[in-house]
Amino acid sequence: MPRKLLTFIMTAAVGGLPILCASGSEGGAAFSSEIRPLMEKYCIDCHDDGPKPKGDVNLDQFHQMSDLWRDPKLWERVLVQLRDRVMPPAKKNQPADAERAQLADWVGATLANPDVSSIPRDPGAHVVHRLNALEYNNTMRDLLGVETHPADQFPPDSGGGGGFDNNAGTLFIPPILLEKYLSAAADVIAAAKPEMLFAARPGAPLDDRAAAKASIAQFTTRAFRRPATDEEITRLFAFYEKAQAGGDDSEAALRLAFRAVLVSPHFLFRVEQERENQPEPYRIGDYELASRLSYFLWSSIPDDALFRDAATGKLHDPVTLDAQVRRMLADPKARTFAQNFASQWLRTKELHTTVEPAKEKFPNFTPELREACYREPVEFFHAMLRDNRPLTDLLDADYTFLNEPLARLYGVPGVTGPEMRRVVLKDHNRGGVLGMAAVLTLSSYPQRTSPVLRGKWVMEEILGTPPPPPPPLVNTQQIGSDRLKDGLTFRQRLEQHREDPKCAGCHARMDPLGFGLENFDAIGAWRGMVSDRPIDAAGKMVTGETFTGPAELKALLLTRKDEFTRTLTEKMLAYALGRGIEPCDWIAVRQIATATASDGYSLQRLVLEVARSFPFQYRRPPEQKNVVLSKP
Amino acid sequence: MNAHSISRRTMLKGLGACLALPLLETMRPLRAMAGAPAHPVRMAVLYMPNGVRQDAWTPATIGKNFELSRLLQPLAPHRDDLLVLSELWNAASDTGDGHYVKTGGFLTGTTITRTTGANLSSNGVSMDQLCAKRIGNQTLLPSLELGIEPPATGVDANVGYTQLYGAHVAWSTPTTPLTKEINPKLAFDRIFRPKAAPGDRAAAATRDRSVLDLVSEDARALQKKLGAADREKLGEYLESVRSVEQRIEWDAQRQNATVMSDPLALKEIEALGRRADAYGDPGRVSERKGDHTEHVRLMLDLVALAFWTDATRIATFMFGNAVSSRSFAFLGSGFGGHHETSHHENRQDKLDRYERINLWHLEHYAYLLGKLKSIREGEGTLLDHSMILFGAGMRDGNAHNPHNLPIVLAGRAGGTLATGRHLAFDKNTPLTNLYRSMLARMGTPVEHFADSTGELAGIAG
Repeated sequence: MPRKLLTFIMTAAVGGLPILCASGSEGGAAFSSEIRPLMEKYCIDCHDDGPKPKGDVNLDQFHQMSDLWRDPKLWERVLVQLRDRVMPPAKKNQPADAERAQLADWVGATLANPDVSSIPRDPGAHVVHRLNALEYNNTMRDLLGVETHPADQFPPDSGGGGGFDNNAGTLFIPPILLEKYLSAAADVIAAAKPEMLFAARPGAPLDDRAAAKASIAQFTTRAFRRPATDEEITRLFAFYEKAQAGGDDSEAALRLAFRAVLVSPHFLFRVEQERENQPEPYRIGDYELASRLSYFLWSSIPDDALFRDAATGKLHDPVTLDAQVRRMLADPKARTFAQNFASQWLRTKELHTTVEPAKEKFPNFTPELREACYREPVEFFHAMLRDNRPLTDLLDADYTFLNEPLARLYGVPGVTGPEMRRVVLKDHNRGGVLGMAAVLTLSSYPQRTSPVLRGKWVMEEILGTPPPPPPPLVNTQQIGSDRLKDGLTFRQRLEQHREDPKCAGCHARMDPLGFGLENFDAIGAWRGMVSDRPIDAAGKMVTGETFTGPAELKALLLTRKDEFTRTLTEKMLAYALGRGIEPCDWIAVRQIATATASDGYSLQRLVLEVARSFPFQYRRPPEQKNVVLSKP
Repeated sequence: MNAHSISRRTMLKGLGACLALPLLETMRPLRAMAGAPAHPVRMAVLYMPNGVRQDAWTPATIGKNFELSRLLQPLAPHRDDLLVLSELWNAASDTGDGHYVKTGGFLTGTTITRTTGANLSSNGVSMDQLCAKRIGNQTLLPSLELGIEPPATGVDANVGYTQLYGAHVAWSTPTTPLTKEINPKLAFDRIFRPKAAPGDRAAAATRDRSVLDLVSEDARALQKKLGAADREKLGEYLESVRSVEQRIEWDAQRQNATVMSDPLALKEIEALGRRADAYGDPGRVSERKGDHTEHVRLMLDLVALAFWTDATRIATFMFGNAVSSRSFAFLGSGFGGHHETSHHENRQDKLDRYERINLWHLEHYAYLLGKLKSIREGEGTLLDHSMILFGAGMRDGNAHNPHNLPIVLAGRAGGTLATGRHLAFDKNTPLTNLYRSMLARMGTPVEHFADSTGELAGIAG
């Protein structure tokens, strides 16, 4: 992050910031004469340049309009806080309505019309990417025809960045993992189909040695996801000969060489070669692009078709690229993307790991139901991809995927058997991710629902505006069980808690979203009553809109579909890049989201735009070799 | 080494039986070769998430014959083996958020970098790894990292940390957290089930070595072509290659020893292996066959067996990850998630449940101590030659407070700890002082460690 800032400053200092366009320079003048003074009056007291600005938000760093492009994402948050009247906090000096409107309008207009030419183009940092467990399994399947899922025996990967387990920066390679690689490589080579290993068999016109060399060249090329170099082939061939000299027969010696290929860093890491003497961001090579694409959509190695387009240098050509992406989405292997992306973005993966509804309270939450809950959003997302549905289906839809146990939970008649199938929904409360049992369960406690957790989930995963943590020493769960206490319902106690001014700001935004979902119990079944009182599912947003129940809440969220599109864009781009979204990605996110919206919010278009985007296709220039970064 | 040269008997009392068990032979030759003392000191750290019920933790009296507090009751059979240490704190964790800084930095004494993934750093090496770097080459595994919950792959957007920090206490470098094994079977296999059949082991080791030689060349050549961040990743890779090479050497030597042919040791190892096999994959709720209690016991038994067979001398174990929402519904009606319960807001019913969950953890600490005590080693027990630290990164889970941490050290570290006492230090004494004292007893003293001001005074008596 500091390095990125430094890059920005250096680019600005060396190249000089381009002159802003007319509206930009007017905006710039307004910034100095009107906006900055307002900020000084109302914001900068707390959000200062010191070591501990409030909420870690430093607004003092923006001295002129061009500074804003260092962190436009932050200004998006500023806009939301101004509009929702969250900032300045109630106990502080409040701007007049006209002043608030002036600030918000200026920020909104500036963000809506970015002067792209004044923003340095930076594709962000790209760290060499170790294959995660899923990628390892899929790669072995496609490289060797081995379906044994060897990585299921590896210790689980951590995550980070955008919240995914393919975040390169947090994929470590500790000794225990290398131990597993060494032994798994032997197992998969032993289990591999011979035709996947031995490209050439000895026989006219090939002698033993020539056949071995041909097999080494082909296998290594596929495993390294780019043509093996002569040097690599020579070394592996020497290794093969040495094994033969040690008593192995030709096939055993070849297998040993292949095992070395599968433990090599060129295989375990997706290596992208840096190019010397590149002052500017540069387009990655077509083989590298093929790998980025196939690990994005298939979590696996490129297939022959991708490899061919990479070999002829056509892959980055927009027409070819579009056709490849559409082909890849139609391939059954894209199910991996639906599963891995959706279940981590929505956090429904937790159903497989930590989520555990209390057994005595929810005896019907059987392993079969648990699995059906997990699969519903996966099947739904996969169908949306295949059928090119608008991404707004995720907010509300008249269909979903059910099997018998899940249909029973939802009270949908006529669904029998264990297989998940598309079902048309008549109940408007149910469609979309907010009506899915997986989401409703993971955002509950084992014993009861939590409107706060559900509201927080919506803010984070749907609206992309995570609330700040509770202030220190505040009891975040003063509410207890969902029984009546002191004559107050659970909801009434929660509202009482919200009267505490320290809590009010955020809870006014979080809780109503959760109240709207109170008709769903802690495993997502519909209920009309709780503790013998009817459910009160009415909510009021800080912006004034009111609603009652899930259907109306969803309708309201649909009016915020552009915020949702941006959130989903950020998540998907982070997943595709294997890193978190940084301020330098703001333009790309914006461009992707705008193009997607203009195409009827098409989910396929979103994927396509991610693949076309600048950070997906480019790399940062190498650091100067004479600079040695000190270890943290 | 031949059988009649074994002069000591190892007593194993377990499962109501009392077995006479010859000392596992693996220990002798390896240790003799390393030139280490007859009974090396072992060290384990048991980390508990979400703090303790503070008004039930601290013993009312100080010194010898101290009165066990309510929470320390499960340790009653081991009171003479304990040092209860009050008023220690981790200053570097008095910032950031409620949980992640107090977990990721628990054994480093440093403040972790706030990040959701980029430039991740604990800013220090953990004390167990400082030790492993220096004496880890004397055992099969330099150190053992075990846990119960898989790391969550998400980021905690509210506080701005990757949840990874909450899943790791062991850091081999500031940028490399050590992955913990949560699957009992895989953890067991790694130590006790060599992959190759006995007759093939030498040949297998030769092949493994040749593969590692080749790939290290690959890595070194590649390293030269990459940028700084990538070079660091390749450095990690090479470090791991070296570690695996070392392990292969140990495996070969272990095979020359006759450890696996001792029928009584075999029996104990096999019994644990059967239980581990039966447990299923804990990473997938639906495939988990045993319960939470059995999971924890399996891991603690594995620590005991690994120490006993000298497969390693250093272990860390996490009862749960930071902010663990593990359901304790099995403790009775009304029990919910761990983290949820830790926010008791001083209500009696929740405090009582919180206390019960804490007690459950201490019962398991006592379980490990009992196990180590049942294994005779020389004139004493395995516990006499160990230091087993139990602790949390915060005191009251409701307040996320890193002052006066709940810390107990058990075992005598080969007679260098005067146990059976409750010691109260000056307020805000660095926890890292204790770490320095422990490192010194492992034969790996350090001159500086994070905010340490010296070794912890008075623990030797």
